[in-house]
Amino acid sequence: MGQIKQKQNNLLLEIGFEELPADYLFPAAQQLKTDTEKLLQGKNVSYKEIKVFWTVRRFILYITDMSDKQKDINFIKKGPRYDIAYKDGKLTDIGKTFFEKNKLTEKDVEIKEENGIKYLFASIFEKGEKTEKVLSENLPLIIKNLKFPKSMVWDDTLVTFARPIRWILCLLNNKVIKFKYGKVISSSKTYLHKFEQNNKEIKIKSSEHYFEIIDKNGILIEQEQRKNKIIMLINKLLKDKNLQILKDEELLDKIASSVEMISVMIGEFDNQYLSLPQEVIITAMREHQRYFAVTKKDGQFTNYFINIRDGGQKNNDFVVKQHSKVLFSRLNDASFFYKEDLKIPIEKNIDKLKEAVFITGLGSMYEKVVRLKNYCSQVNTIINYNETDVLTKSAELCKADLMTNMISEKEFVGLRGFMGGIYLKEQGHSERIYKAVMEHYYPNFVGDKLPVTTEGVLLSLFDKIDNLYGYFLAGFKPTGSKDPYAVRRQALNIIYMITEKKLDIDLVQLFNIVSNNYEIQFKKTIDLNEIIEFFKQRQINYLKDREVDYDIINSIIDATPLNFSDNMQKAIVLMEARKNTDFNDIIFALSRINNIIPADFIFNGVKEEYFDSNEEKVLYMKFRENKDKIDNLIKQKNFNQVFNLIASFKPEIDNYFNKVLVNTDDDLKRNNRLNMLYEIRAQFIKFVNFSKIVVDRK
Amino acid sequence: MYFQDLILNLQKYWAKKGCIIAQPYDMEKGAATFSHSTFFRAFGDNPWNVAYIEPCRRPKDGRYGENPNRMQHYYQFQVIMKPAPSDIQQLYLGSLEKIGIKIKEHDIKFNEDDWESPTLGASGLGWQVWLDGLEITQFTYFQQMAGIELNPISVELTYGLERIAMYIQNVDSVYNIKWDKHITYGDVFLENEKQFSSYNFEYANIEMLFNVFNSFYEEGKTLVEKQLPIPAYDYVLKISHIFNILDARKAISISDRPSFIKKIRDLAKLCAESYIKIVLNKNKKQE
Repeated sequence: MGQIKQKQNNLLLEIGFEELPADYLFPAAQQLKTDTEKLLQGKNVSYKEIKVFWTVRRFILYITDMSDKQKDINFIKKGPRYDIAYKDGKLTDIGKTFFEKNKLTEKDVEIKEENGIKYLFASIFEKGEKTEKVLSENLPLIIKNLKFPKSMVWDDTLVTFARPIRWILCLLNNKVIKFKYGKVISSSKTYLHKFEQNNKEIKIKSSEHYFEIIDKNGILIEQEQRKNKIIMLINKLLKDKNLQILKDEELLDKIASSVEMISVMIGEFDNQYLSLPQEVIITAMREHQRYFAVTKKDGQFTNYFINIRDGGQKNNDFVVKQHSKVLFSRLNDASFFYKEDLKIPIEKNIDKLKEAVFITGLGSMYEKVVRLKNYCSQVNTIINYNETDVLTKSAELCKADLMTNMISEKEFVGLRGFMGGIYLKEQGHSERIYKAVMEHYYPNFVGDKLPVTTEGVLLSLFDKIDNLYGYFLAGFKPTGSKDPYAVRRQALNIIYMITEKKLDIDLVQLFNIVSNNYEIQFKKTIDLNEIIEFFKQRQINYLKDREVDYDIINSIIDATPLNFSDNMQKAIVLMEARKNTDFNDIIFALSRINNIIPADFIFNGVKEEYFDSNEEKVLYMKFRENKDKIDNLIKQKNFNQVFNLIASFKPEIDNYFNKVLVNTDDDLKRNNRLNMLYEIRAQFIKFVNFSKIVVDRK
Repeated sequence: MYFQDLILNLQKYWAKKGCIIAQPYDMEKGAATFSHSTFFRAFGDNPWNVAYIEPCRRPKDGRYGENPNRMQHYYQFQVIMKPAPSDIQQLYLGSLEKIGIKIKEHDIKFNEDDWESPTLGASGLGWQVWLDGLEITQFTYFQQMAGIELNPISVELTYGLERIAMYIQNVDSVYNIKWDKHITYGDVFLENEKQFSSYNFEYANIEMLFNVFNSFYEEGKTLVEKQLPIPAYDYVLKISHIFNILDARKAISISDRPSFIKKIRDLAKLCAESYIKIVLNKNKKQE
């Protein structure tokens, strides 16, 4: 028997817009997908798959195999209390509203008791709407709800999007789903490539037809596809020349997000500019022009560059010559700045820092440098480091490049620190100083390069903590979703560096020094607890991002809130220990100590003469024997052994609680027992607060 | 294509597309956005389509005529269309064809740009348009003018005429641009550049300029009180230019800059509010 093939319901939605910023595209496309999933699930429309594709001027949503309509649903709805819905056997206003709102007749409603009170219960049947209707009603909302860092309006309907929407193609199979967004009415039309195909209008018959047309006309709607094609074409171009591009994922991503077609060309710039620092050339090429740098196979830098064009090959020889000209004038400017900067000893710029604003209301960069130098001169009170002279000199020089010609140009501002280091090196300063200056802005994000030299690390730390305190003092403490100066990220960078570099520093002491310096300059301070609390929260996030369990994080932070480096090590030890089968039992034993001590208990010493049971004596003896050992191991940061040692108390603790009644009627004895447990807890808590760890009873 | 033909072609093109061809406003200004044809006309419901050339002054950018691309005086070609037509990108690309740039033979990029003029309190979203690596146009949908949200939205196209001319004529210095068959851009402007650079960087009388800045600011405020926003706006232009000269003279410290910019912006805002109240709302009532 021949089976009639079920009709497949496929939806194609293409939102066509004027070029969106490259970094808006991926997140919005993801949102388009998840919002559509939520919509269909919420509306009881089944489907097989939802796919999204995107280019710089279109979002494409493709849903396959949807049901014809929503599922019908039956459910019981609880209404008002009977004595409120009816008075003297007649419907009250409230009762009427319930009937009307739910389109009920008497036979739909039952009166049932719940906890002794009578309520109205209606059995409700909702017939599923056609999928088409669900979509035409909800797709405009989905478009409207797409979030962008910045949105705009473009016509008097005042609808918003990141850039103007110019067309909407929406087909359910071969039928247009009609809806409106602003002034744009959905249709079956798409538009081809803007330059290469003159934005040609094409009428689309079905989703298959659409993908065929897009493919035939060479429009690439997948980011991976575009990235691969760029790399493939570049490799083809460079293979014979024995060259390769300098890898730059970020640039590749940005370029691939900006084109619908791809044509690759190679250009050259004057050899003389190869004498500039490579980073300067790379910056001049990538920041504005979006060119890839080219190296030989052995990594040696060359005077070639690669440009990607959104379109065909036509006239490329001429086009690339024009690009070379533009690059020539950019490199010419850079070279001029570089030579001019080198003419003046960089120290001379320090005084000019008085003209550079730091944070609004907090003076100049010059005053910041004064503070940095002060932190450096007291560095040995914060960390075990004694070469204050080198460090202080580095601090004095570290911001001088801000006033150079090169860094004053917006395009090159990303090279601050680096250029300072280069100039110092060229002007004969010692390696330790120029390296420290060069590195001191790192890390810019968690996972970024870290300073290598000790001076670089310390200078970076002081610079960042000084910024952070400054933002708090100037009133830019992050609140809720507001964090215009990315203060949270800066805090994470600090935690990241301290953790990775395993710095053993006294942060509270550092905060105090920073606070004193600001107070001297501006006669104001903030409550340090605010910063400590803030860092605590940041550290929780930092550890969470590293997949440390929430309760373990709490146990650590509760004990030692600001020892970022130690805390990471402790987290590793505890996460590892949790994998063992006996972990729960150990934690349970340790938490028994905590749980029995009243919150308001005041320690007043242990008197061994009050001990009357063996278990008591054994536990305390074990504790006395190991107390100093725990301290030493913590000092050595051997947290693995600290945990093992504490865990080894388990049998003695278990025996103790099995045999000894802590809360006995004998006040003296009870008090003494609590004192002993208190002393033990006080020692353990130097490591972590075990009572915060959740015992899994499974 | 000569410099003058470039201008004429753009004018012809945009006239055909329904723009009136206006002339520059007769005062110094840093950008074509400052002209009445843009600033005041961004407000109000009535359609407004205009194209005009506008001389711009940026004292700080002067280089004594020695830099091939940087001048303290140059031209912008400005198109304003309100409401913004839905095919404005195609219209713009058409204008490039009109001046000899065949779209299919070049690398054209629309690079995102959030445009802002802090002194006018103006902002918008759009792109810088790049032709074979060279920025040739600022393409902006205005969102705010004088800090006031706009509706309907105007689109602003600002062509950098000298850059485009250098590109089309394939010359390496702005001063070698051929104005017509015989006269170069240098013939017309080189001496001006030298003299104005000297003035802007060396001889502008700082004390006098600070004084007139304040007097002009007060005059502007007084005129707003007298319900004369259009003459008052002249004083926005004046103090904005004076600020730019003082800036070129390095007479304004970085920490003082914001307060000067705020004064200009505040006066511009007063002018705009007064213009809306006195000119636009009155016209509305008459309708």
